[in-house]
Amino acid sequence: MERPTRRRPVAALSGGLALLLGPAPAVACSVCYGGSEGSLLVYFITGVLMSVLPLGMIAAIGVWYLRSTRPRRPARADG
Amino acid sequence: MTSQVLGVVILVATEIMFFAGLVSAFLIGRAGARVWPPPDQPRLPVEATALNTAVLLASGILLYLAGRRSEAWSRRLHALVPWAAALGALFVALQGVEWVRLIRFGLTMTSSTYGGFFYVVVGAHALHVLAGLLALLWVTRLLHGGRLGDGAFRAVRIFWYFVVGLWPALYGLVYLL
Repeated sequence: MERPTRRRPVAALSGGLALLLGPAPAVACSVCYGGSEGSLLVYFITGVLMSVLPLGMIAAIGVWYLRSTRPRRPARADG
Repeated sequence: MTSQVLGVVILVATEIMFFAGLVSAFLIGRAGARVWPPPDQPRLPVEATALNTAVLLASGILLYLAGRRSEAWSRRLHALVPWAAALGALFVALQGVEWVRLIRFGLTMTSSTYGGFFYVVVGAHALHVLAGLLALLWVTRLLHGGRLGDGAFRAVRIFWYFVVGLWPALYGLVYLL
Protein backbone atom coordinates (compact mmCIF):
# COMPACT_ATOMS: atom_id res chain seq x y z
CA MET A 1 0.00 0.00 0.00
CA GLU A 2 1.44 3.38 -1.07
CA ARG A 3 1.94 5.93 1.61
CA PRO A 4 -0.20 9.08 1.18
CA THR A 5 2.76 11.40 1.89
CA ARG A 6 4.29 10.56 -1.52
CA ARG A 7 1.34 12.10 -3.27
CA ARG A 8 1.72 15.41 -1.50
CA PRO A 9 4.44 16.91 -3.77
CA VAL A 10 2.43 15.98 -6.86
CA ALA A 11 -0.70 17.49 -5.38
CA ALA A 12 1.18 20.62 -4.33
CA LEU A 13 2.75 20.96 -7.78
CA SER A 14 -0.60 20.47 -9.49
CA GLY A 15 -2.21 23.00 -7.19
CA GLY A 16 0.61 25.50 -7.78
CA LEU A 17 0.35 25.11 -11.54
CA ALA A 18 -3.41 25.54 -11.38
CA LEU A 19 -2.97 28.75 -9.36
CA LEU A 20 -0.39 30.07 -11.83
CA LEU A 21 -2.19 29.15 -15.03
CA GLY A 22 -5.79 29.47 -13.89
CA PRO A 23 -6.03 33.24 -13.52
CA ALA A 24 -4.53 33.87 -16.98
CA PRO A 25 -7.90 33.98 -18.81
CA ALA A 26 -9.23 36.39 -16.19
CA VAL A 27 -7.14 39.41 -17.24
CA ALA A 28 -10.24 41.41 -17.98
CA CYS A 29 -9.58 44.69 -16.16
CA SER A 30 -10.98 47.42 -18.40
CA VAL A 31 -8.07 49.74 -17.64
CA CYS A 32 -5.12 47.33 -17.59
CA TYR A 33 -6.04 45.17 -20.55
CA GLY A 34 -9.05 46.66 -22.29
CA GLY A 35 -8.07 50.32 -22.40
CA SER A 36 -6.55 52.47 -25.09
CA GLU A 37 -2.83 52.52 -25.94
CA GLY A 38 -2.46 55.76 -24.02
CA SER A 39 -3.95 54.37 -20.83
CA LEU A 40 -1.79 51.25 -21.12
CA LEU A 41 1.33 53.40 -21.32
CA VAL A 42 0.24 55.52 -18.34
CA TYR A 43 -0.62 52.35 -16.44
CA PHE A 44 2.89 51.03 -17.10
CA ILE A 45 4.63 54.28 -16.15
CA THR A 46 2.64 54.74 -12.93
CA GLY A 47 3.20 51.07 -12.10
CA VAL A 48 6.95 51.55 -12.37
CA LEU A 49 6.73 54.78 -10.36
CA MET A 50 4.71 53.16 -7.58
CA SER A 51 7.20 50.29 -7.44
CA VAL A 52 10.34 52.44 -7.34
CA LEU A 53 9.04 55.28 -5.14
CA PRO A 54 8.94 53.40 -1.79
CA LEU A 55 12.40 51.94 -2.34
CA GLY A 56 13.76 55.38 -3.20
CA MET A 57 12.17 56.93 -0.13
CA ILE A 58 13.49 54.21 2.18
CA ALA A 59 16.97 54.72 0.73
CA ALA A 60 16.68 58.51 1.10
CA ILE A 61 15.48 58.25 4.72
CA GLY A 62 18.33 55.82 5.45
CA VAL A 63 20.98 58.12 3.97
CA TRP A 64 19.51 61.12 5.79
CA TYR A 65 19.42 59.24 9.08
CA LEU A 66 23.02 58.05 8.70
CA ARG A 67 24.21 61.56 7.86
CA SER A 68 22.36 63.11 10.78
CA THR A 69 23.71 60.60 13.29
CA ARG A 70 27.29 60.60 11.98
CA PRO A 71 29.62 62.16 14.55
CA ARG A 72 31.01 65.47 13.40
CA ARG A 73 34.76 65.85 12.97
CA PRO A 74 36.37 68.06 15.56
CA ALA A 75 37.48 71.42 14.20
CA ARG A 76 41.17 71.56 13.36
CA ALA A 77 43.15 73.91 15.46
CA ASP A 78 45.38 75.71 12.97
CA GLY A 79 48.40 77.44 14.41
CA MET B 1 17.48 63.55 14.65
CA THR B 2 14.75 63.48 17.27
CA SER B 3 12.03 60.83 17.40
CA GLN B 4 9.47 63.53 16.49
CA VAL B 5 11.34 64.34 13.29
CA LEU B 6 11.84 60.67 12.39
CA GLY B 7 8.14 59.99 13.02
CA VAL B 8 7.06 62.84 10.75
CA VAL B 9 9.53 61.78 8.04
CA ILE B 10 8.01 58.27 8.05
CA LEU B 11 4.51 59.81 8.04
CA VAL B 12 5.41 62.01 5.07
CA ALA B 13 6.81 58.98 3.22
CA THR B 14 3.50 57.15 3.64
CA GLU B 15 1.62 60.28 2.58
CA ILE B 16 3.75 60.50 -0.56
CA MET B 17 2.72 56.93 -1.41
CA PHE B 18 -0.92 57.81 -0.72
CA PHE B 19 -0.84 60.77 -3.08
CA ALA B 20 1.18 58.81 -5.65
CA GLY B 21 -1.66 56.27 -5.68
CA LEU B 22 -4.26 59.00 -6.11
CA VAL B 23 -2.28 60.68 -8.89
CA SER B 24 -1.74 57.33 -10.62
CA ALA B 25 -5.47 56.61 -10.57
CA PHE B 26 -6.17 60.14 -11.84
CA LEU B 27 -3.67 59.83 -14.71
CA ILE B 28 -4.94 56.39 -15.77
CA GLY B 29 -8.54 57.59 -15.65
CA ARG B 30 -7.64 60.70 -17.61
CA ALA B 31 -5.70 58.75 -20.25
CA GLY B 32 -8.67 56.43 -20.74
CA ALA B 33 -11.12 59.30 -21.31
CA ARG B 34 -11.84 60.36 -24.89
CA VAL B 35 -12.35 64.04 -23.98
CA TRP B 36 -10.82 65.64 -20.89
CA PRO B 37 -12.28 67.56 -19.19
CA PRO B 38 -15.78 66.38 -20.17
CA PRO B 39 -17.52 69.03 -22.29
CA ASP B 40 -20.62 69.18 -20.05
CA GLN B 41 -18.62 69.91 -16.91
CA PRO B 42 -17.57 73.38 -15.66
CA ARG B 43 -13.95 74.46 -16.13
CA LEU B 44 -11.71 74.78 -13.09
CA PRO B 45 -10.69 78.32 -12.02
CA VAL B 46 -7.05 78.17 -13.14
CA GLU B 47 -6.11 81.82 -12.48
CA ALA B 48 -7.75 82.11 -9.06
CA THR B 49 -6.11 78.87 -7.94
CA ALA B 50 -2.73 80.08 -9.25
CA LEU B 51 -3.09 83.05 -6.90
CA ASN B 52 -4.09 80.68 -4.11
CA THR B 53 -1.00 78.58 -4.88
CA ALA B 54 1.13 81.68 -4.40
CA VAL B 55 -0.54 82.22 -1.00
CA LEU B 56 0.38 78.70 0.12
CA LEU B 57 3.93 79.03 -1.20
CA ALA B 58 4.30 82.31 0.71
CA SER B 59 3.18 80.48 3.83
CA GLY B 60 5.90 77.87 3.29
CA ILE B 61 8.54 80.57 2.75
CA LEU B 62 7.50 82.33 5.98
CA LEU B 63 7.80 79.10 7.93
CA TYR B 64 11.20 78.44 6.35
CA LEU B 65 12.37 81.89 7.47
CA ALA B 66 10.95 81.19 10.93
CA GLY B 67 12.91 77.93 11.02
CA ARG B 68 16.12 79.68 10.06
CA ARG B 69 15.61 82.19 12.85
CA SER B 70 14.69 79.58 15.42
CA GLU B 71 18.26 79.12 16.54
CA ALA B 72 18.47 82.72 17.60
CA TRP B 73 14.90 82.66 19.04
CA SER B 74 14.43 86.18 17.85
CA ARG B 75 11.19 88.06 18.42
CA ARG B 76 10.44 87.92 14.71
CA LEU B 77 9.97 84.16 14.98
CA HIS B 78 6.91 84.79 17.12
CA ALA B 79 5.40 86.86 14.33
CA LEU B 80 6.35 84.64 11.38
CA VAL B 81 4.70 81.39 12.55
CA PRO B 82 1.21 82.90 13.04
CA TRP B 83 1.52 84.62 9.65
CA ALA B 84 2.40 81.30 8.02
CA ALA B 85 -0.65 79.75 9.70
CA ALA B 86 -2.85 82.67 8.61
CA LEU B 87 -1.78 82.26 4.97
CA GLY B 88 -2.48 78.53 5.20
CA ALA B 89 -5.95 79.30 6.58
CA LEU B 90 -6.50 81.79 3.74
CA PHE B 91 -5.59 79.05 1.25
CA VAL B 92 -8.17 76.66 2.73
CA ALA B 93 -10.81 79.41 2.84
CA LEU B 94 -10.24 80.32 -0.83
CA GLN B 95 -10.38 76.63 -1.76
CA GLY B 96 -13.70 76.39 0.08
CA VAL B 97 -15.10 79.37 -1.84
CA GLU B 98 -13.92 77.77 -5.08
CA TRP B 99 -15.58 74.46 -4.19
CA VAL B 100 -18.91 76.15 -3.39
CA ARG B 101 -18.86 77.87 -6.79
CA LEU B 102 -17.97 74.64 -8.60
CA ILE B 103 -20.75 72.72 -6.85
CA ARG B 104 -23.21 75.48 -7.84
CA PHE B 105 -22.03 75.14 -11.44
CA GLY B 106 -22.72 71.39 -11.32
CA LEU B 107 -19.32 69.83 -10.62
CA THR B 108 -19.92 67.31 -7.83
CA MET B 109 -18.39 64.04 -6.69
CA THR B 110 -21.01 62.10 -8.64
CA SER B 111 -21.43 64.36 -11.68
CA SER B 112 -18.56 62.66 -13.55
CA THR B 113 -15.23 60.87 -13.12
CA TYR B 114 -13.69 64.31 -13.58
CA GLY B 115 -15.57 65.67 -10.57
CA GLY B 116 -14.86 62.56 -8.51
CA PHE B 117 -11.12 62.77 -9.12
CA PHE B 118 -11.06 66.53 -8.54
CA TYR B 119 -12.73 66.38 -5.13
CA VAL B 120 -10.82 63.31 -3.94
CA VAL B 121 -7.35 64.58 -4.94
CA VAL B 122 -7.84 68.24 -4.00
CA GLY B 123 -9.92 67.33 -0.95
CA ALA B 124 -7.27 64.95 0.37
CA HIS B 125 -4.74 67.75 0.09
CA ALA B 126 -7.08 70.22 1.81
CA LEU B 127 -7.47 67.79 4.73
CA HIS B 128 -3.67 67.67 5.03
CA VAL B 129 -3.52 71.47 5.00
CA LEU B 130 -6.08 71.51 7.83
CA ALA B 131 -3.98 69.02 9.82
CA GLY B 132 -0.90 71.15 9.20
CA LEU B 133 -2.79 74.24 10.32
CA LEU B 134 -3.72 72.57 13.60
CA ALA B 135 -0.05 71.68 14.08
CA LEU B 136 0.99 75.28 13.33
CA LEU B 137 -1.55 76.61 15.84
CA TRP B 138 -0.18 74.17 18.42
CA VAL B 139 3.36 75.39 17.65
CA THR B 140 2.22 79.02 17.98
CA ARG B 141 0.71 78.28 21.37
CA LEU B 142 3.88 76.55 22.59
CA LEU B 143 5.99 79.36 21.19
CA HIS B 144 4.15 82.05 23.10
CA GLY B 145 4.30 79.96 26.24
CA GLY B 146 8.06 79.54 25.79
CA ARG B 147 7.71 75.75 25.74
CA LEU B 148 8.47 74.99 22.09
CA GLY B 149 11.17 72.37 21.61
CA ASP B 150 13.39 72.32 18.54
CA GLY B 151 12.33 68.76 17.58
CA ALA B 152 8.62 69.56 17.63
CA PHE B 153 9.10 72.74 15.62
CA ARG B 154 11.25 70.95 13.05
CA ALA B 155 8.73 68.08 12.75
CA VAL B 156 5.85 70.50 12.11
CA ARG B 157 7.95 72.39 9.58
CA ILE B 158 8.73 69.18 7.65
CA PHE B 159 5.03 68.34 7.45
CA TRP B 160 4.15 71.85 6.31
CA TYR B 161 6.91 71.82 3.65
CA PHE B 162 5.41 68.55 2.36
CA VAL B 163 1.91 70.06 2.21
CA VAL B 164 3.19 73.23 0.51
CA GLY B 165 5.54 71.41 -1.88
CA LEU B 166 2.90 68.89 -2.94
CA TRP B 167 0.32 71.49 -3.95
CA PRO B 168 2.06 72.92 -7.09
CA ALA B 169 2.41 69.35 -8.42
CA LEU B 170 -1.28 68.64 -7.80
CA TYR B 171 -2.26 72.02 -9.25
CA GLY B 172 -0.28 71.28 -12.41
CA LEU B 173 -1.79 67.82 -12.78
CA VAL B 174 -5.42 68.60 -11.96
CA TYR B 175 -5.82 72.17 -13.21
CA LEU B 176 -3.31 72.57 -16.03
CA LEU B 177 -2.69 69.13 -17.59
